[in-house]
Amino acid sequence: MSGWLRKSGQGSGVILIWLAGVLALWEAAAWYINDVAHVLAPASKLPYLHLVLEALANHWSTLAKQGIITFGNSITGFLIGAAVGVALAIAMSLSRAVELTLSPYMIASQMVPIIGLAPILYGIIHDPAMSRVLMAGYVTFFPVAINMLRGLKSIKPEQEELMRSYAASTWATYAKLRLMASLPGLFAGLKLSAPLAITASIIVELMGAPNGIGVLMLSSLYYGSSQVYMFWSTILMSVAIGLIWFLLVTLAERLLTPWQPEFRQQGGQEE
Amino acid sequence: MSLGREKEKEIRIDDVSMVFGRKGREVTALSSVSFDIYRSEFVSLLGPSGCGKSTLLRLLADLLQPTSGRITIGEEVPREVRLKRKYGIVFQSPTLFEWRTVKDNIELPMEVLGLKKSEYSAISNRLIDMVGLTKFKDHYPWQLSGGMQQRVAIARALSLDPPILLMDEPFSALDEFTKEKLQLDLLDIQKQTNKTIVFVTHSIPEAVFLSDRVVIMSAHPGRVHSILEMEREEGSYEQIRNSGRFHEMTAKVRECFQLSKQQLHA
Repeated sequence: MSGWLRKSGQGSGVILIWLAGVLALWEAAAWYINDVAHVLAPASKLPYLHLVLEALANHWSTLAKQGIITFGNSITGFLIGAAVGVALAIAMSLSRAVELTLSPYMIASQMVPIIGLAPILYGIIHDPAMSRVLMAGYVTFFPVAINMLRGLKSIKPEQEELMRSYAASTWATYAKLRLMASLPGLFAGLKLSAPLAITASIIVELMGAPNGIGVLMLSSLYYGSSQVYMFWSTILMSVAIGLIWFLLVTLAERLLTPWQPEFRQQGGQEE
Repeated sequence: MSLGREKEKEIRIDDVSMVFGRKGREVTALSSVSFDIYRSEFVSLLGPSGCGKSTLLRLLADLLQPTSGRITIGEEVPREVRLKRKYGIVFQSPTLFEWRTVKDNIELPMEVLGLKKSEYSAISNRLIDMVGLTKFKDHYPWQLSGGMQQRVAIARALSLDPPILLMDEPFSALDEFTKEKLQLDLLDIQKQTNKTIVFVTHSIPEAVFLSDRVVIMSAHPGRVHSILEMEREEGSYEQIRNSGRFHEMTAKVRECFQLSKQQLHA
C-alpha cells in the first residue's frame, strides 16, 4: 500500500511540474502576442491565462450550471452506450454468426461523422437532453464493444480446457473466466470513449440546443472579442469535465482490476 | 506401489486413433494405441514431440474425442468421468487465473461445482499447507515463482479429491532444482493419496524416477512402441538418482527409444 502511495505520489508530482510548465508557457506566449508582437485582436488568438481564470471565476455559477447539464447527459449516454457495447461484445463472443452479422453494421456506424449525425438526430427527436444522451452513447458503444470482445477472446486455450475439465456451464465459464479476462479490454474501451462522449454532447449543443456548455461556447463566439475570455473559460471547463470523467474511469479500473501489470507494486517471489 | 496393480484396471485404452485436420490434409496424431492403466499406478507417457502423448492425455480428459477406438475409465466413458469431475488436470503452464489469489485459485473447481465457501475453505487451507504455500495463500500468481505457481496448479487439481490426476509436462518449464523438489513432492502426494497418475513427459530420467511403468511412444504417426516396468526404490533423491538400478533402467528406456527411431527410418 505504501508503495502504491509513493508511486502515485511521484506520478502526481510529475503532473504538477508539467502543469506548471504549461501554464507558464501559456502566460509567456500570451505576453508575446499581446504586448510584444502587436498583432490584431491579440486576445482572440491567445488571451492571458490570468484573465481567462478571472472570467472563469466571475461566471463560475453559469459555467458550473451549464457544465453539469452537459456532464450529466453525456454520462447517462456513456453508461447506456457502455452497457450496449458490453451486451454486443458478449453476444458476439457467444456466436460467430452474430459477430459476422453485426460487425459490418457496427463498423459502418462509425463511418458516419457525428458532426453530421448530431443535427439530423436533433431534427428528428427535438429533445436536447435526449439528443445528448444518444450521441454520447453512440460514440461510446463501439470502442467498448470492440475492446471488450478482444478481451473476451483473449483467454488461453488451456484456461478454457481447465473450465471444461470442471464441467463448467457456459454461464460459469463467463462468470469465472471470460468476463474477468475481458475487464482490461473493457476499461481500455471505456477510457477511449470517456472523452469522446463529452465531446459528442457538446457537438449536439453547438448544433442548437437551449442549454449546456456548448451553447455558452457558441454564444460567446458570436459576441466576438468582448466575450473572448468567456469562450476560453468554456474550453477550460470542457477540458476539466473530460479529464474528471477520464480519471474516474481510471480510478474504477484500478479498483476493479488490481491484478493488471501496470498496477503491480512488487516483483516476483523467489522460492 | 505395485500392490494393487494386478487387481484393478482403472483406465482401458482400446485401439484408439486420432486424426486431425480435414480431408486431404489429415495428420495422424495417434494410430491404434492400446494399453491399460491400473489403479493407483504412476504411468508416464514418454516420447518426442509429435508422438501424440499430449493428445492421448486430452482424450482421457474428454477435451478431445478420438477418431476411432474406445477409452473406458472405471466403467465409464471419458465424458461421464469429466462430468462427474473424477480427474484433475495440470498443464505445462500453471494456467492460474491472475485475478485470483492462491487460495481463490485452488478453490475454483469447488466454486464451479457449487460448494459453499464454508465447506471448501478448510479443504483449500489443507491443500495450501500440503504444497507448502501457507505463507503465500493471499498472494497473486504474479507474486510467485514458476515452481510455486505450478504447486498451486497441483493443489487446484487435487481440490475435488479426484481418483485420477492427468499431468501434461507439468515440470518441463521449471529449472532443475525446482523440478527435483516438485518431483519428490509429487511422489509424496501420490503416496498419501493413492491417486492414479498419468504423466506426460519428454524427459527419460524424469519418467524413470517417477513411474511404475513408462509407456514409450514413437512419432509420425504416434504409436506405443513399448511399455517398460520400472522398479522404484526407496531412498533419498540422490541415492535413487545415483543408484545402479536407476542407470540401468534409464539405459533400457534409452535403448527402446533408439529402437523406435530405427523402426521409423527403416
